[in-house]
Amino acid sequence: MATLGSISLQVAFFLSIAGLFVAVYARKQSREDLMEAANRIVIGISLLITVGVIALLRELLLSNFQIEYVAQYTSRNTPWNYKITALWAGQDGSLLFWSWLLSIYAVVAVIQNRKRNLNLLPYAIATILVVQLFFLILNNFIANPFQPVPPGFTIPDGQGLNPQLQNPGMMIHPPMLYLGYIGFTIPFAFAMSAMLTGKLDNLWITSTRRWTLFAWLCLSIGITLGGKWAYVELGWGGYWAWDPVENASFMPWLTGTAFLHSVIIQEKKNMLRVWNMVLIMLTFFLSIFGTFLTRSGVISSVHSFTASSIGPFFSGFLVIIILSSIALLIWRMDVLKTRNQLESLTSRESSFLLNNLIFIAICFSVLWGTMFPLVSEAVRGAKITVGPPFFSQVNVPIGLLLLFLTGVGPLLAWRRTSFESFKRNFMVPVILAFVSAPVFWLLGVRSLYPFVSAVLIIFVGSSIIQEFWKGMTARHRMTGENYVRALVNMTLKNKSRFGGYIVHLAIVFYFIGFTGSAFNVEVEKTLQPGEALEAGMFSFVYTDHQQLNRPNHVAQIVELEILKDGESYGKLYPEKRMYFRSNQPNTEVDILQTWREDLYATLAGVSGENNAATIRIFVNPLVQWIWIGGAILAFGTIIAMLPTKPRIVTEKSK
Amino acid sequence: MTGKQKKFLISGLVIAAALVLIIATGFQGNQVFYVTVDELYAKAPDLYGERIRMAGNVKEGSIQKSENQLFTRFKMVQEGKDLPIEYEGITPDMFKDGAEVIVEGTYTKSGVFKADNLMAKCASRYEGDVTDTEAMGNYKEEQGY
Repeated sequence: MATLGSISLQVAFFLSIAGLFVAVYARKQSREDLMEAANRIVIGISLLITVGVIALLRELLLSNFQIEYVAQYTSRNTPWNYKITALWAGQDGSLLFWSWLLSIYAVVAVIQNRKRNLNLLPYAIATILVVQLFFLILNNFIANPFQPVPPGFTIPDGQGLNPQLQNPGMMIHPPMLYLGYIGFTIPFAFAMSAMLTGKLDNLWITSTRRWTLFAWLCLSIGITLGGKWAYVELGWGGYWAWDPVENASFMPWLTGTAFLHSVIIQEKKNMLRVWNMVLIMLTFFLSIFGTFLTRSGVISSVHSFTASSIGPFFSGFLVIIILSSIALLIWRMDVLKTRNQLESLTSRESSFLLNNLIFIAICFSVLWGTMFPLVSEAVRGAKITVGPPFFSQVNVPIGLLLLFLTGVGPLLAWRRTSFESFKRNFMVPVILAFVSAPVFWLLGVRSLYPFVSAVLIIFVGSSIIQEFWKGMTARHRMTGENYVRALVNMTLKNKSRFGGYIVHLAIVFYFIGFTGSAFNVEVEKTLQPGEALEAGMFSFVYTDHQQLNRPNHVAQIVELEILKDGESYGKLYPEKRMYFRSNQPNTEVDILQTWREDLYATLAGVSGENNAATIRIFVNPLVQWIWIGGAILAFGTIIAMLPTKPRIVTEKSK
Repeated sequence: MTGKQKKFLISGLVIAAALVLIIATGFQGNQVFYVTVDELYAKAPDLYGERIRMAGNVKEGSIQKSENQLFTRFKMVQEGKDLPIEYEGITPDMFKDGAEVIVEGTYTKSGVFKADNLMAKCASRYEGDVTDTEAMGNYKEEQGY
C-alpha cells in the first residue's frame, strides 16, 4: 500500500504540472474542451492524493512500523481514533493532509463554477495548481510520509502519540485550522484570476463570498478550540499565551476579518478595490506563512517543531507569492482604481475603513512581535524577544477600540449619518452604557481597561439587540406574525446582515470572557490533609488523598472540598499521573465551570508521610462565555452562509 | 485636494499615528534579551537586572526540589556549558532530566539565574510515551537524534 501511495503522489505531481499548462492554454485559446480537460485533471489529482492519504491511513491503522512516520507517531496500542489523528500529528503527514484538503477544495470550486464562471475558472485553477504543486513537491521530495525506516532496523513497536495530544479537542483543532488556512486559497485564486484576465468587477468577490466565510469560520473555530485545549490540558490556567504558533493562526484571521468587512464596501459602493486585492493576498500569504511558522521552527516556541528541512522551500514560496502579487497589482493598478470617494466621516464606509485600519494594526503588531527576535538579530546583532506583556499592552486598547466600532459601525448610515438617525439609533445603547458605568464601578470594576471594556460590552450588546428588536417588532406589525416567527423570518430574509450581527454578538461574548481574565486569582500552596487554601471568595479544603494503580500509570488523586461562605459548593479531583514506561508525569486538571467563574485546580505533587499536597488553584471569572461565544459565532456565520434563493425575483420586483 | 479629502487624510493620519505610538511604546520595558550561556557570561555585568530568556537542556541528575515541590534548583546545559538556575513555582510536566527548556528571568551577581518562567518543550516532537518506547529509544540513539 505504501508503494501505491508513493506512486499516486508522484503521478499527482506530474498531473498538476500538466493541469497548470492545460488551464492556461485553454484560457488563452478560449478552448472550452480544454477547460473541461483542466477541470477533469483537478478531479484526477484529488483522487490520486486521496489514494495517498488512504494508503497512509492504512499503514497507520495496521501499524506498519517499516514506515518511519508510522513508527514515530503511533504505537501498536495507540487507540484507533488517535491512529487516524496521527495523520496530521507530524510534519510529513500534516503536509500531505494540507495537500489533500486543498485538492478537495479545488474539486468543489470546479464543480461550483464550471458552468457559470467560465471566464475566471481557468486561471483560478492554474493558481490553485501552483499552490498544489508546491505542496506536492514537499509531499514527494522533501517530507515524504512514506519514507521507510533506514535499512537494518526493525521496530517492534512505535513511539506512540504524545498523551497530551490524545484529547478529543486535538482531534478537531488542527483540521479546523487547516480547513481555514487552506480555504483562503480559493478566494485568493479567483482574485489572481481576476487580475490576470482583467475582469476586475465584483465577480471574483461574489463568487467566493461563501468560501471566504467558510474559511473564516473554520479558522475561528480552530483558534477557539486550540485555546480550549490549552486550557483544559496544559494546566497553566490560561487559554492564550501569544505563542508564535498561536499568533500564526491569529494573523490570517485578522486580515481575513478585515477582508470580510471591506468587500461589503466594494459590493455596495464599488470602492476599495485595490485594498480588497491587497487584503486577500495578505490573508493567503499569512495562511502559508502560518503553516510555515508552525512547521519550520524558525521562531522558538513551546510547540514548534525542531528545525527542519522544509524552511528554505517555504521561504522561497512565500517570496514567490509576494513578488507575483505585487507585480500583478502594479500591472493592473490603473484598472483597479475607482473614482468613488468617501463622503462623510460619520458614514458606514468610514467606520469600515477604520475597522480595517485597526485589524491591520493588530496584525502588524502581532507580526512585529512574533518576528522581532529575527529582526533584532539581523539589525542589532542581539536577539530580543517580546513576550505576552507586549502583546497585551498593545492589543488591549486597540481591541477595545475595535469593540467600540462593532457597536457603532452597523448603526451608521451609508454615505452620511444625519443627526436625527444618530439620535434614534444611539439613544438606548448610550443611556444603558451610562447607567451601567456606576454599577460596574460599585461592583469593583475600577481599573481602566476592564471598566471601559465592561461599559462597552453593555453599549455594543444593547445596540445589537436593539437592531434585532427593531426588525422584529417592525415585521410583527407589518405581517402580524408572532414575535418568534417574525424574528426568524426577518433573520432569514437578510441572512448576511443578521448573521453578521449574531457574529458581533459572539464577539461581545468573547470580550466578556477576556474582561473576566483581569480578575483572575491564582494561589499556590502546600496543604496538609484537612488544611484549606483561600482563593477569592472560595476556600478549598484538602479532604482526601488516593493513589490509584491504572494499567499504564499510577495516579495521585486529591479531593478538594470547595466552600463558599462556609457552605459546600462542590468538589474537585485534580490528578498527577506518572506513566510507567516514560517516567513522564502528567497533570490532569479538574475544573468546576459555571457561567460566573471557573474553579480550576492542578496538583503539583504529593509528598511526605502525611501526603502533603502541593496545589495550584485558579479562580477564572467568566471563561465559559468565550466557549459559548464560539458556538454563537459558528451559528451566526452559518446563517450568513445559507444560500439566498429567491432574492433575484423579489429584488427586481421592488 | 478638496477640503473633504484633507479632512479624511488628516483624521486617517492621526489614527494611524496613534496606533503606531501604541505599538512603539509597547516595546518599552517589554523587551527580553535572548542570549546563549556563552554570551551571558561574556556580557554579564551589563545584563544584571535585565530580563533574559535562555534555552538549553536540563543537566542529567541536576534537579533538586524543596519538599513542598515549589522551589526548584537545576543546571541548564548549552553547548557543554552549565548555568545554575533557581525557579520558584510548579514545574511543567515535561520538565525532567534532559528536557529542552526555556527559562525567563534575571541573572544575579551570585552567578545564579533566577527564573520566574519555566517552559519545557512540549508536544509536537512526540517523545514516546505510555507504551514500548525502549525499542524506539535505541533506534533513536543509533540514529543520532
